Amino acid sequence: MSDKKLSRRDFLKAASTALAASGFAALPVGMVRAQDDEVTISLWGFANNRDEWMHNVVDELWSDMHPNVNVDLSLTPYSDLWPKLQAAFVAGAGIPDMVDIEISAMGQFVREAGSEPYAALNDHIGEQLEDLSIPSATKPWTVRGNIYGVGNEVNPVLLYYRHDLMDELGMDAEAPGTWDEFVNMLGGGAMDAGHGLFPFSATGWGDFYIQFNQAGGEFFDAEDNVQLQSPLAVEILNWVKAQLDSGVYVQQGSGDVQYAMMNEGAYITIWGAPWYQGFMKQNAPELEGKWKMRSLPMWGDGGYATVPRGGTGMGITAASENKEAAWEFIRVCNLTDEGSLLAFRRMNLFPSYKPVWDAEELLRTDDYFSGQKPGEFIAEAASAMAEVNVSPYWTLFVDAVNRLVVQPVLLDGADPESAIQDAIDEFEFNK
Amino acid sequence: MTASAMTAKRELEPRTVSSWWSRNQRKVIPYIYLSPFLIAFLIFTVYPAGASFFLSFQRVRGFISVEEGGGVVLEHQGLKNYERLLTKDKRFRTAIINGAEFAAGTVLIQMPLALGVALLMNAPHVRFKTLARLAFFAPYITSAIVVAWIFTLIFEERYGLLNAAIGFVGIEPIAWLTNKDFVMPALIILGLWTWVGYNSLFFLAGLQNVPDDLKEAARIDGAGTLRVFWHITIPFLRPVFVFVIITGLIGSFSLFSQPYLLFDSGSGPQDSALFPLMYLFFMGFENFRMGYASAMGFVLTVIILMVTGLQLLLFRLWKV
Repeated sequence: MSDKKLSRRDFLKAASTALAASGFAALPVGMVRAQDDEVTISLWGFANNRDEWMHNVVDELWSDMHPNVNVDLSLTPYSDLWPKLQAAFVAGAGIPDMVDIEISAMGQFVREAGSEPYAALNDHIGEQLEDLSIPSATKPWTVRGNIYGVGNEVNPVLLYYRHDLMDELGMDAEAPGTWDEFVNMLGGGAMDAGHGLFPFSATGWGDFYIQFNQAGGEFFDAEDNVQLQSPLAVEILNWVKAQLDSGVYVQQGSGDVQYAMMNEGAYITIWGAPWYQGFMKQNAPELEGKWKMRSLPMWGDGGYATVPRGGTGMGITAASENKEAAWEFIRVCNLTDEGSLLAFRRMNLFPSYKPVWDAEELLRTDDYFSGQKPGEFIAEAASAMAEVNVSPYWTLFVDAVNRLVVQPVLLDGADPESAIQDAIDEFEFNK
Repeated sequence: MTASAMTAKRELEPRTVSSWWSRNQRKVIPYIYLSPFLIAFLIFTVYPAGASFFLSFQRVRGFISVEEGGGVVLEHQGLKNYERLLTKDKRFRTAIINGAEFAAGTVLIQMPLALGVALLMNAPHVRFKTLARLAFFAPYITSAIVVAWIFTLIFEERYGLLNAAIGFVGIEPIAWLTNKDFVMPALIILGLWTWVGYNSLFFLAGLQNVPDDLKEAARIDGAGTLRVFWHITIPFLRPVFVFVIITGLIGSFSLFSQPYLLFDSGSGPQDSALFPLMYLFFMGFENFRMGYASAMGFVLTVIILMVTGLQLLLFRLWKV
C-alpha cells in the first residue's frame, strides 16, 4: 500500500466526481428521453392477463401504427401499486403516463376537486362515448362528471348452475324468477341431497352489495351522500342472514378453498361476472359440461336484472407529458374493433366497445357451459345493468361496511339498523 | 495595504491552508470516512422523520400539479390529529389492544416455550442438536408470504390441518379466520411457530454462558436441580429475558405482514387482526390521511418507548 497522503485537492476531485456520478445515476427513469423523435409512454398495471393483452396490442397493432412511440408496460403486485403510485404523486416525480385503475382504487386520489392526479378523458372520448357500454366502460371511473378511465370489459353478474346435479335432483334451475322462488324452490332439495344452494361471503361487502344493488340500493348517490341507511338494506341483510342460518346459503371460502368447495359440490349454483368464468375453467376444469348459466333471479319489485362487478380502466395521469400518445394507446386498446377483440381472445372478456358485439367470435359456443353462448347472455344482461355511483370515498366506506355491517350482522347476528349507523358514523369520522 | 504586502499575502495563502490541513487532518479524516453513512442517515432517516413530524400536524388535501412543482396540498391542523387519535379513534384503541394481547401471548406463552426448547437443546443427552437448531430457526427466515400461505391452509375451517387434528379428539371445526374470537389465538399460534425457535437460540446462548463451576458448587452445597435453575440459571439469563421481551413487545405492536396476508390485505373479522402498524398503513396509504398516519407513528413510538422503559425499570428491580 502506498504511504502517500490523500491531498485535499485529490479528495475534492474524487468527491465531486462521485457526486456527479451519483447524480446521473439518480435520474428518474421517466426522465430518460429516447433519441431522435422517439417517445416512450409508460403504463403501470397489476394484472398479468391485461399486461399480456396490452403486449399483444403493441406487437400486433401499435408498432406498425406508431413506430416512434414505444410503450413501456410494467407490472406491480396489486396491493403495492397504490402506495407506489401515491409516493410518485406526492413526490411529483417518476409518475407514469398511464395507470390501470382497478375499480376499488378509483376514488382514493380524487377526493379534492381541482387536484386530481388523473387527466379527464371526456374530450378525448367525445362522440365515441355512444359506442361504449357506460355502466362498465366509464361510469366506475367517473367522478364529478369527469371520466378518468376507460374499462374494456362488460361485467354483468350472471348465475351459473350445476345442471347435472339439478337434473339428478329433478330441479329446474330456470324456473325461479325471483330470489324468494330461487331459495324456496331449490334450497330444500339441494340441502336434502347434501348440498348448499349458493355460496355467499359473509366476511366481505361484495356479495351483499350485489344483492343490495340489484334490488335497487346504492351505497352513494350522485352527490356522494351515503345511501345505506335504508329499509331496503335492512331487508336484504335480514334476508341473507336467514338464508345463511338455514344452510341454503353456505359461507364462501376464500382463495383456493372456494374452488375446492366448487369441485366437491358444496353448492350447486354460484354467481359471477364474465371474468369469473375464466377462474372457473382454470380451477375446476373437471366440471366442464356440468355448468349452465342464466340471468340472475329478480327481486320482487323494482331493481335491476343484473349489476356490474369488478373492472379495470386505463387512465392517463395529469403529469403525463405525452397525453395525446397515451390517449391514442388507450383508444387502440379499448375503442377499436381489433383492440377489443384481442382482449376477448386473450382474456375471454366481453368488450365494452359495442360496435363489435355482433362479431362472430364473441357469440361462439362454450363447452364448459354445456354448449351455451356466453356472449349472448352477457350482451343481453349488459343492456339491463345497474349503474354504480362510485364515490371518491368508496374504499373508505366499503371498508366500514365490511367490518361494521356485513360481518357483525351476518356472522354474529347484530342488529342491522344499528350496525349500519355504526358504519356511517365511522365513515363520517374518517372522511 | 501596499502592493508588495498583497503579493506576500497571496504567496502565503496556500501555505496557510495546507498547514491547516496538516494540523487537522487526523481530526477531519474520521468524519470523512463516516460521511457516507452520515449523509445517508440524514437523507433517509433524519429528514423523513422530521418531515413526518411536520406532516403529523397537517391534513393532506390533494396533489399539486407537476407544473407547479409537485407535492401535496397541506392544511394545518395544529394538534387535532393527536387529539383525535388519543381521545376519539376507536380503531386505534382496538389496534393497541390487539397489539397488547399479542404481546401478552408472546411473553406468557412464547417465552417459556422458547426457554424450554433451549433447555432441551442444552441438555447433554439430547442428540441431533444442530439439526434441531436449524429446524427451529427455519420458520424465522421463511418469507412472511409463505408463512401466511401455509397458515391459511392450516387454519382453514373446512379443509384445514388444525381442524382435522382437533377433529380426532372430537372437537368441532373452528372458524379460526372468520370467527373474531378465534383470530387472536390463531395469530398467537402462528407467532409461536415463527418465533419460538428464534428466541430459543438467544436462551441457548445465555444458558451456555452460565458457569458450570457455580452450578457445581451449588450442587455440592446441597441445592437440587430446581434451586440451581432458579437461583443460578435464571439470574444469568436476565439480559436474555430483557432482550426477548423488549423485541417481542416491539414486534407485537409492529406486526404487519402475517395478519395482512392472512386476512387478504384486511384487518380480520371486525378488526380482530388489526395492529397499530397496519392501521397506520391503512390510514396513510388507503385512506390518504398521511398527516394522521404520521401522528399515529409518533404516538406509537412514544407508547413503545414508555412500555420498554417500564420494563427496563422492572427488570432493574427484579432481583432473584
